[in-house]
Amino acid sequence: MDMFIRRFLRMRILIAVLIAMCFSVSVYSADKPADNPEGKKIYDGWCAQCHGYKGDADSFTKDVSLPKPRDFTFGSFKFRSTPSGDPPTDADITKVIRNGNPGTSMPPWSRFSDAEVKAIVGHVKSFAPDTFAMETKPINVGNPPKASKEIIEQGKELFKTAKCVECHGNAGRGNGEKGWQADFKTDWGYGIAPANYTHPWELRNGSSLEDIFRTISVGLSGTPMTSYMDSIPDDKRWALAHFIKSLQLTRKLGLALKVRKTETLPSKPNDPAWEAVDYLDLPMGGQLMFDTRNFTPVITNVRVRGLYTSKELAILLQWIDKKPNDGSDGKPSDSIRIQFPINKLEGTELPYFFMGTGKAPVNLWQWRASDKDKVSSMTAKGPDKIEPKEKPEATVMATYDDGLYSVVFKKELKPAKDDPVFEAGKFIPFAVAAYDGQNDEDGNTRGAISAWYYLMMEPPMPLRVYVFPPLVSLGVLIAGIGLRKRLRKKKV
Amino acid sequence: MKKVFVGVLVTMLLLPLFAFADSKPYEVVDVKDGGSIKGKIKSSGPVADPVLDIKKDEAVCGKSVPKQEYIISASNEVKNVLVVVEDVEKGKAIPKTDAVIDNQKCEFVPIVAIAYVGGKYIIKNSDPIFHNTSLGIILGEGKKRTVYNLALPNKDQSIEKPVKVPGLQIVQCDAHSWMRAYVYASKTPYATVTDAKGDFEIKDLLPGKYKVRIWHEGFGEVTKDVEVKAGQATALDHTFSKK
Repeated sequence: MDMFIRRFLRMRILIAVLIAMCFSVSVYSADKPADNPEGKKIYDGWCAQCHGYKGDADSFTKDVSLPKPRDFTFGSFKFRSTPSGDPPTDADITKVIRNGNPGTSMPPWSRFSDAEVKAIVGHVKSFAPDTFAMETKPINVGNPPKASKEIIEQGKELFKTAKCVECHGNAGRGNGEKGWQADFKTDWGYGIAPANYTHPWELRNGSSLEDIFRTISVGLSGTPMTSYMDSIPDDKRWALAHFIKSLQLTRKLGLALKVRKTETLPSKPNDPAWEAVDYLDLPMGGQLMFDTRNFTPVITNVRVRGLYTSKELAILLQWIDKKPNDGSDGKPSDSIRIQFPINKLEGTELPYFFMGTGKAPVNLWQWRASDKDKVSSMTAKGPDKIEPKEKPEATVMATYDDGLYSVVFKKELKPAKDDPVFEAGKFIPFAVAAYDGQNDEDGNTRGAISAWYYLMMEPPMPLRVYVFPPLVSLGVLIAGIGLRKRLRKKKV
Repeated sequence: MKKVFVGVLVTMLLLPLFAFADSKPYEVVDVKDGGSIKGKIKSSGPVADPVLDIKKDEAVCGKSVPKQEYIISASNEVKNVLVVVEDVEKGKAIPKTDAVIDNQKCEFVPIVAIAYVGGKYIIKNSDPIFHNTSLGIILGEGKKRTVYNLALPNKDQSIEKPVKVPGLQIVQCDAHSWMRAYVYASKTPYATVTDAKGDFEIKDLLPGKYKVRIWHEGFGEVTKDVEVKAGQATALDHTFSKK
């Protein structure tokens, strides 16, 4: 009897294992298009509008998105954890669906259940059966070494010897010379620009240390980003990843910029003295209200700093442009504008945030790369009603260093008629529009724009700030000691 | 009873293997008394080979380089023409030759190569500068599907990779846009490239009717019907003309 039960149990385990194995095989076959109506249904309902019903990205959105939606039929997949030449894993595709793709039109999809995502993945794979016929597994990422000055230095050296610098530029801003050859293209035949490492929010394949290590290791299939796994050993790739990670900007978002008073202003836009000055980052978006709209902006951030003296206010605007254009190469010139309301603020109402209106006009200062140190002052009553002013209200200085534009506008604080008024202690609204000539941005409507922000020129600290608080503290201390003594007496 | 049960289960497990296997894998058989295809590829006249200007890494690459697209002899014989017998289902064993692609003075050597699925690519950098070697299945109109994209930052670096994806691929270096070569990854031993005299020979084919693809980077391609007879060499000549 006992023997029989044991044999029965053993057989049951064997059967269970065998059934489990059968099950996994049948799940694999369920990924075949014909067997996956659920995946097709969800894909057609939610994904096909961009990626096309046949997975070929033939859709309405292909002309209004940059990068364009992925054409799955090519079988090239940029974001993989697998070696160059291998297809992505299901987990890789799931990750893109779940997390979206930073800096692109691909949003994160949380509305689907895990089973639904699995069905979508199966349907996406069915568009490139050849690619997915190959077996693959993720590379071993292992444990990253800790960040240190030494490892970052080593990475910096490798950045040059591994020739990352040739495409991504000395400072990692994506402005390397070789990255801008005319036929620098993707598998899909589109032009492509090298990544700007300093903007982690633009890194499609993720911006963590592990993400960077993985990207260096296996490359981005279908792009010129090549795989270094076979040519640089693990520890050196980690050093490279640490260096690249160290280049990332810390974005400081907010509503207002503090502008400190100083004795003298830095003499140049790229003066290192600016680095110690507090900053505000303005996220930039495409202008979508007026023709010509910009659905494909490339300037994503403008960093603003300010300083003032008793006579002048200086505002520094910095942004990354991977390929500078001064108007001489057939492309429009790069340019930037800053705007202030003309009328004093009544309540909280601001002029329309892009170029104002007839009722609430704005002052514009514009700098163009083609005009070097010339500033254009204008009054705008809407994007089609911009009138130049005879007398410039401000002066401008500009530099371009290794992918970074730095432009300083300076304005005398002595008020003049119709000038924006800069008064210490007040919140002064400003907005910025930036234009990249390489992206055919025209210097007016087709550009990247910000919302309204405020700058506040901090009033110098009055003397009483240094006198009263210590006096109050002293008073509190004396009262406290007195109280303690009285309480002790009572107790006794 | 138990044995029967397990047997059924194992068969069920193995079934998908057959169902998903390549429908027509190449089958190696002993080819006795096979036939061959032999021929010469010519051009209807001389075609000037373009000279490419070089604007990067001139110290290593030089100022200009012949494209080596049209390598045509005095008697109009064309080198580097790919000749492939298509859809061969069975025949002799696949050679164990690796496909070597070298980056030499900012050119790929050779310009046209044959690789065998199951074999290896050996990708080398003989230059003291960065090259990346990217292989992609040609999809037309400048489009491709990346097969490998490998960085070779240092001189004398060499990377070995298995040949997995069959088909005609373009080899490119993203760092030097003028660099290009072609490699045909073959599932069978029946593919070759013409020599400097435009000659080729494909041996040991089982007798039968075949389609032969003749491809050249500049001239384009034609497909010809050929009948191979036991112990005989079938002639296949072609003359391209530049449009």
